[in-house]
Amino acid sequence: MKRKELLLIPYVMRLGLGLSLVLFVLTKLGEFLEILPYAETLWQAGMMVLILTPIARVGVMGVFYFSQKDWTAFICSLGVLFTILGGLLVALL
Amino acid sequence: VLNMSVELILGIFGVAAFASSLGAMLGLGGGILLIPFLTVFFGIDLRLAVAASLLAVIANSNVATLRNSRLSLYDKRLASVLEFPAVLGALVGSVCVVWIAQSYLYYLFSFVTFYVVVLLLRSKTENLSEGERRQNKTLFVSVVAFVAGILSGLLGVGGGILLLPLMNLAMKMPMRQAVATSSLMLGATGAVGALVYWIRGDMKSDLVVPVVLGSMLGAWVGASFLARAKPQFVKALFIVLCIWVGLQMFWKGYQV
Repeated sequence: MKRKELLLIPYVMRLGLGLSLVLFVLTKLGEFLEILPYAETLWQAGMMVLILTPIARVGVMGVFYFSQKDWTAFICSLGVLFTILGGLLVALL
Repeated sequence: VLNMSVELILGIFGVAAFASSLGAMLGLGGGILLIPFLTVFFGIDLRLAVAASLLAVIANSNVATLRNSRLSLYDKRLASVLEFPAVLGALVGSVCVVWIAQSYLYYLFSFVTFYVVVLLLRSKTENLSEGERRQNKTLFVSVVAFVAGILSGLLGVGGGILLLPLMNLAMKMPMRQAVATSSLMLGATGAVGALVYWIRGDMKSDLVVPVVLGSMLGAWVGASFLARAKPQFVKALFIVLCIWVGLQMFWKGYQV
């Protein structure tokens, strides 16, 4: 289980980081060469992936703590997700 | 669209890489250096600079965590436990910002930062294992993390500047491990603010793309350096940055 835990965080990080990096570079390159349609949508998607990466990491860690029955850490992970949701609501209102 | 020249974009990329490398070395994200650089030297609007800086902090946290995970430097559980009060505090602080006189808070933050410098200078190296840390002052540290979060939400300063010494001094965590744990926590804190700024429409691709790409590069360099750096050097660098932040906060308090 220890190894599984060690693999989880880097996997989520690498996926999010790699995807956002590709989208950012592609957008700028496309804008510069004037060959890429939907540049605005692509760059917004890259930004969204980047913002969601740490949130996904917190979620994955929460699932891990739940499986380990480490309730303090699980509640804290859940609390972070709800606080982010609260922040979003505050911004929208 | 901000219509930037290639020179300006390259300049922003370089500044972001520099700020982020220092940020990854000290577990602070780099926003504390990046925002003054962008606003003072490049004349970027403060709101746009803060928005871009939040994304830079997320990129920094992701890259530094990836680099640090290879060396198992960070304490994941402690990060998860402290993340909640810190993020909650940041949200409470950002909501309460309209009701509280900021000048006193700037002075208070400045005082706390200088107090942290004194504590760090007087502290002796005493490291506890992960298990011992769990028994040691977790509730006290969570409360301080909440207060640090409130201050960061009220003043727009990353809570890392208070959380790092907290982990090092109160929880007896080795300096490099405290830096890596702080880097891991920064991502979620930055995500809350970044979402808010994104909804408000303050994210501009011309600014954000060079800042984020520069931050990724800088974080990789900074985290690689952290892996080899001596704890005393990291501590000394952190103290210098604390003094810089303390003076900056005092000056802002004086100006308000």
